[in-house]
Amino acid sequence: MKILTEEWLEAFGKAINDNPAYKESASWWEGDMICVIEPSGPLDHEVRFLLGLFHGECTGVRLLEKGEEPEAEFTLSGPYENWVKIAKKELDTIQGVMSGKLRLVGNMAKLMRATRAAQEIVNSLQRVDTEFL
Amino acid sequence: MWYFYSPNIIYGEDALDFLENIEGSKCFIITDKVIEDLGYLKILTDKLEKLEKTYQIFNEVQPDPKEEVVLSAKEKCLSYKPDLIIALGGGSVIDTSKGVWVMYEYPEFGIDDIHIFNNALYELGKKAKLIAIPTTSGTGADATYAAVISRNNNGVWQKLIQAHKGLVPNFSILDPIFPKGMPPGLTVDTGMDVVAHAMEALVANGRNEFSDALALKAIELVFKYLPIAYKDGNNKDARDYLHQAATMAGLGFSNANVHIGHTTGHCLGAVFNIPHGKCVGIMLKYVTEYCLNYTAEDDKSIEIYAKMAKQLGWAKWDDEDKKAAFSVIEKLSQLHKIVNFPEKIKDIGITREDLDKNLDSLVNLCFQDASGSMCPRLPSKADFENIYRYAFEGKDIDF
Repeated sequence: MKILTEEWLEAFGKAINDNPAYKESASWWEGDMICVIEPSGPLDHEVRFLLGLFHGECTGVRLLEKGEEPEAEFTLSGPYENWVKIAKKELDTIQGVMSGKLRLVGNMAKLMRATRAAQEIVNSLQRVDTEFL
Repeated sequence: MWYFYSPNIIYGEDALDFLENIEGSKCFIITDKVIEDLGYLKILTDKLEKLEKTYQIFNEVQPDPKEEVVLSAKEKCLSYKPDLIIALGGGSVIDTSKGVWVMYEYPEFGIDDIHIFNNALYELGKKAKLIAIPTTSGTGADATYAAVISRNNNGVWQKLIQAHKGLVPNFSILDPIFPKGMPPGLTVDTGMDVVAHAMEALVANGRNEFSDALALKAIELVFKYLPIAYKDGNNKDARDYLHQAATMAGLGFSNANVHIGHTTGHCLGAVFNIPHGKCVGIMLKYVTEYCLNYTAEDDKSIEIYAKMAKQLGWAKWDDEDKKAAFSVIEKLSQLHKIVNFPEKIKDIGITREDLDKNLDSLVNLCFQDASGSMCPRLPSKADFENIYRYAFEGKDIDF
């Protein structure tokens, strides 16, 4: 599936829900996440999508319209090429954030308790059959 | 891109004399009453008086420092306006001091503002330098960028691991005069904490060449000198090297991470109020076996521990990797016996009933512990439960 299409986003949400480790590690989590994929490499425009996350379930994934600012627990932003590295397991998400390749904004105290859950979201992403740009 | 953070380290006999070379004359000393009663505070204050530095003392730190104590110290520090903050004590004192340091420099910040993404914390040190003088040889807190501070969440004490690279103290002074008074039990618990830091760092997902080198040396030193210090607490060499080993392991894990030995140990300690070194020391053997049993093709745990065993002379260079790696488990058990360290959870006063009653809470806390995602093998809920059950009975991990 071509990355960042509606079909791909749906598969990403399904991969999260099919990941029992996510369900277990995020059973307490309440709060959505916005992903911002900034233009770089073959991507010439910004793409944003919202991941609905509640008690170990992905409640939905959808692309955001320009200017749309839904409430979210945190936002993860970075250039397309760094997201691709994460999806291909070439970059560890935590190392990516700590080294500034990705930026995270939100309730950090809560997020620091969710590093395992975040890792499982990335593990789910890596299981999606993805055709990169 | 990766990085390696470290304080300036001054070590060996009379290291405390280095205070003379550190600019600043108004010192806020953070310590606890035990350190004061042992006479260690007087050693420091005598030195400061000789150097004509003034000081104020905050001696209210308790084990597993609570948020309220950090906030209380912060207020006193703000009114004293020091240009040096000196942490004299174990991990609890040093962690408290890191929190106070942040909130002295940025009075508008609270504990929750101490996190890895707060770039302001790279600027720490404008008002005061932080000097860590560890009095135990275990936590490595003098070399790390984390501060473990407890908060009461609905009746359960949760250890918050607040971390930012800027929290690394400016100076770590490792004077063996301080740890020489540790009783054998504390010497062993803290020594096992060092082994846990170093062994977990070797396989944790932030490991790198710098952290590997320090972790390996720390393990070598502890295995050599802990039995000596256990038998003879006054052995100067043993105390000196164990003190250095604690900081080496601190540098190792601070730059590489720890993983589920600390996750499961933190949670065990929080729920049952057991000292940190005891908990992580017990869990280390079981989580190492859990890692060694991992069968993922790209996992390197066996290769890493086999190399470590060969480098330390615990296995022969031509031994098969799996055999060499598992020799590490045997070596841990041998060390436990030599220094009379408990092998299993039921040896530390926890009953099976206690464990079963609290297993859900333990596992839920494990999933919320930041070090839990740093392991090469990520445990499921059932895995966490079984690791605790096996560690309770002292059974080899067979899954």
